[in-house]
Amino acid sequence: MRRRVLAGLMAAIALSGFAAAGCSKSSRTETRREETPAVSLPEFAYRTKLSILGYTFAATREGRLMAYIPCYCGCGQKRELYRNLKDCFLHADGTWSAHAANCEICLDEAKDVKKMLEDGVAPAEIRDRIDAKYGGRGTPTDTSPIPADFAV
Amino acid sequence: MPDSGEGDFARSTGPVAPVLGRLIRSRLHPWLPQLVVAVFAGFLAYLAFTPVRHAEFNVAAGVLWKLWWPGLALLVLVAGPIWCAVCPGGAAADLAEKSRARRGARRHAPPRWLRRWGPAVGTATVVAAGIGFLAFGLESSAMWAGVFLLGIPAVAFAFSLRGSGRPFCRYVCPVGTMVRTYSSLSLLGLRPGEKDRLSPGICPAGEAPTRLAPFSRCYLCGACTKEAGGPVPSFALPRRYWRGRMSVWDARVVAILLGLAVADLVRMTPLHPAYVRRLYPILGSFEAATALGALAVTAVVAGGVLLAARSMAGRTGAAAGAGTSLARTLTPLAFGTFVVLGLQHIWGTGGAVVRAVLLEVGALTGFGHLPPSTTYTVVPVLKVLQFAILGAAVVLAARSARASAAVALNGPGRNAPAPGTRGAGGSGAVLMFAPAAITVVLASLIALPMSSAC
Repeated sequence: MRRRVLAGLMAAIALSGFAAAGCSKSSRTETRREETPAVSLPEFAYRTKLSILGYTFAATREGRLMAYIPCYCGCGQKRELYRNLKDCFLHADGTWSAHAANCEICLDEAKDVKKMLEDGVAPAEIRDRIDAKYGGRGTPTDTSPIPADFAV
Repeated sequence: MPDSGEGDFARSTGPVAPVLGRLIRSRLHPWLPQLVVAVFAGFLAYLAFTPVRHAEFNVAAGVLWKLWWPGLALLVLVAGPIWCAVCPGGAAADLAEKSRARRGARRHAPPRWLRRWGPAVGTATVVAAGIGFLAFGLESSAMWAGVFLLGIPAVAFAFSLRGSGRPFCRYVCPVGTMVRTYSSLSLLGLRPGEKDRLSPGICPAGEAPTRLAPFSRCYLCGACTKEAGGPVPSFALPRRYWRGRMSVWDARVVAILLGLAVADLVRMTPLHPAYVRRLYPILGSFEAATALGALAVTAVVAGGVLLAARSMAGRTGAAAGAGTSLARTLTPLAFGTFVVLGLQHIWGTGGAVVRAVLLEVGALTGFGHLPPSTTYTVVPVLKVLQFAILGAAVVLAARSARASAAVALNGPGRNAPAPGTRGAGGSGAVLMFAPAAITVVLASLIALPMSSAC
């Protein structure tokens, strides 16, 4: 009886583990293809799923668009350090910044930009939508407009 | 044997106990606090499914996991299962029961399968909820906060249509199971009343009012305290850590809760991203990596407790008794870790959540925030508090171990080991060694920098 109960407990533990892993299984193939970092991310980027996604995106070619997207978390109060969303992920000298890893707005914005790019939304439209969604949350960064010849 | 007796309680009740007692005895309890909490929970659920307007993050998830959850630890510390009395899930269950009574349906026991497998179901939900919470980082998911806020009352309502006395709360709810387990450490307890003067069947949970104690199914509805005609259960300060009956399933829940608490503690330290960084390229999924790690830590801790219990039992085969003694000793350490984590959440993010609420309701206008430049910090004052809590837990655990060691295998008053057994000396050593090993692990983790990000 005791062994059966113990076996049941172990099965429950295993099932919950498989369930947790299984829920993400459907997107695993996609994750491997699209989200496994091509560059070596800093350790702090591995704190949450959203953080991995944001930092990975910042390191990609498409992530260049973030340099033309304002950040609304309030980092715009420090104009000398933060001029756009990309500055929350990468310093001007190209080293990683831990700022975004601790900021839900930066990570949410990066996720939205990535999603809209994947959906084929035009860069100018992406910026407008980000302005509409996040405007008013905090002092925005003083971000330069998207160049006319910008292509992802 | 009663679970608790007059000897467990101090003569002085302290200033909070009479106030709490009056509240519980009031005719307005539990429906009025239930109504207030349910309205607030409904408002939070609405916010969970509504886009953020002004705040820096979704307020529902923030309030739920960064204020309520740590606050629950403090509530349990003060008055045991008091949350269960006012929980929206319990309110929904009571509503279902009242609607059944209005239709003339008689009270009946929960289904047989639930009564039989209830403890196993409760343990399984604790494991599933704990691992799921850690793996999916539910504290920052607005959608899951909404599902939790609406789902628990819905399921509790459905269960109450099948049986009386809040079957979901008593057998299935992971929060209820955890609260019941940790209630043995609450500062205030229910002092037994006089059984003979109480009408039989007065308790909706089917408990005898003289046996209201931690690990009972009591959820402080207050029905017994309103019974006229004599002394009834009342709140009082326990004089010593509860030493009553604990079932084998209760012991298993303690071991699992301790494992989950250690896993959660690891998640708050830089060890977690360092671990995920190594496993992410292999698994390709943050959730799978975290779930695997949390499962591994929980299994090592719970398995270690099981092995220690077997080692204590030796050749006597009394593993169940040894396991419950060990679990009783480990309960303060598990609960202490829960409180330590709660303090970390409140200190690190409590202010940000309150600010977000004020921003969202328009009571505050802000310019945003500048998040900390480093995720993991050491706050000296907080560390002192956390180590003080751990110290208090260790003292309680040591006292419990000393009290249990002599009777773990040989029974009260028979300290001489039976022929061919290891005896109290061996069991006592294990009873001291296992909590000491866990304490070293907990102290090492608490000493590390912890997450301060919102």
